[in-house]
Amino acid sequence: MKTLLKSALVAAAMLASAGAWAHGAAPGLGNFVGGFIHPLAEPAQVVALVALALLVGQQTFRRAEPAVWSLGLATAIGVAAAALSARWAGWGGTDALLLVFAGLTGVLVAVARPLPVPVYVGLAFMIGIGSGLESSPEGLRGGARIGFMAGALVGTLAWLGDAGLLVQACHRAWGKVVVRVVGSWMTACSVIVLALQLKR
Amino acid sequence: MLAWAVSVQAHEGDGMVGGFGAGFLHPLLGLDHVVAMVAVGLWGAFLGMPALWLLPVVFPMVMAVGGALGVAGVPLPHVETGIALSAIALGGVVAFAVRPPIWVAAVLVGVFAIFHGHAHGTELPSAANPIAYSLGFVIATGLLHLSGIAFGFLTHWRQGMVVVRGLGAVIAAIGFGFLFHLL
Repeated sequence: MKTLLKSALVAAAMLASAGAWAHGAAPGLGNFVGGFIHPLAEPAQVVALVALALLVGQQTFRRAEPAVWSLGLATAIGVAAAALSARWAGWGGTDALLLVFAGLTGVLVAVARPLPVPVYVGLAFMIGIGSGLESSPEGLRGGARIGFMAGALVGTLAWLGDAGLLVQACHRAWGKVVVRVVGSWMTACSVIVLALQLKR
Repeated sequence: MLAWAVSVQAHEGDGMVGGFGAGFLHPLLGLDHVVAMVAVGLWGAFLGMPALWLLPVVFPMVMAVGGALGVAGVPLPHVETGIALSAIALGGVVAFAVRPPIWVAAVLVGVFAIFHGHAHGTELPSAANPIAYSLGFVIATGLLHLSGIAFGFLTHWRQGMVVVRGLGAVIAAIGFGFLFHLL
C-alpha cells in the first residue's frame, strides 16, 4: 500500500507540474527547461511515452536497459533530423507515427507476455524517432534552438524513466492488472485518433 | 483524477487540457454510460481472474473500434438502444450471478463496447483537441471500470455479495428506464 501511495504521489506531482510548466510558470529557466517539459505538452508524445513506459516497466531492469538506450538514440536522431531539415521538422506524419506505435505498444502491455528484446527495442526506437521529430521548436534559432532540443532529449528519457520506475514498483497482482488496463487505454486512444486523422 | 483536475483549472477550456477535460467529463455525464461501465468492473471482480483484467482491457480496445466507426461516419443502428441494453445485460448478469466461460463474457462486453464507442466517436471530430479528448474519455471510462472493480471486491463478504448483486439489479433497472425512455 505504501508503494502505491508513493507511486500515486509521484504521478500526481508529474501531472500537476505538467499543467504549471505549460503556462511558462517558471520564467528565467530558459529553453532547456522548455524542451524538458515539451514531451508532456504534446498529446501524441504523452500517449506514446506512457505506453512505452508501461512496457519497459513490465520488464526487468536488465531487459529494459536496451529499450531506454534505443529511445535515447532514436530521439537524438529525430531531434537532429528536425534541426537540420525543415522538411523533417514540419513533417505532418509525426503524430500518426507516434500513435501507431503507441497503439501496438499498448496491446503488448495488455497482453503482458514475455517479449524478445528486439521487439521492444524496435518500438522504443520508432517512438524515439517520433518524439525527436516532434521536438522541433517554432520560432527559436541558434543556441536557443539547440538548448530546447537538448532539453527535449533529456526530458523524453527522464519522463520515460520516471514512469517506468513507477510501473516497476507495482509488484502486487492488482498493480499489474492496472498496468495492463492502462496499456489498453493507450491503444484505444491511439486507434480513435488515427481514425480521425485518416478521415481528415 | 485530482491531479488532472488541477491541470484543467490551470488552463482555459481549449488546447490539450481543455480537450482532456471535455473528453473526461463526457462518459461521466451520461448515466447510461456510467452504470454500464461500473457493471463491467463489477462483473470482472465478481468473476475473478482472468476476467478481472480481461474485461476492462477488452472494453476500451473494442470501444475504440466502435469509436473509429463513429469517427468515420459509418452508421450503427440503434446506438442508444444498444447502450441501454448493455446496462440491462451487464447489470443482469451481476444480479443473477451469471458465470459464463471467460470468452463468452469477453464477447458480450466487446459487443456492447462497440455501441458505447460509436456514441463517443460521433462527437470526437468536433473536439478542440481530439487526442486529448479521446485520452480523457478513455481514462474516464477506465476509471469507471476500476470503480466497479472496487465495489466488486465486496463479494469477498457474504453480505457484500448481496450488495453487489443488488447493485447489478439497480443497474439493470436503470437500463430498462433508458430503454423505455423513462429516464
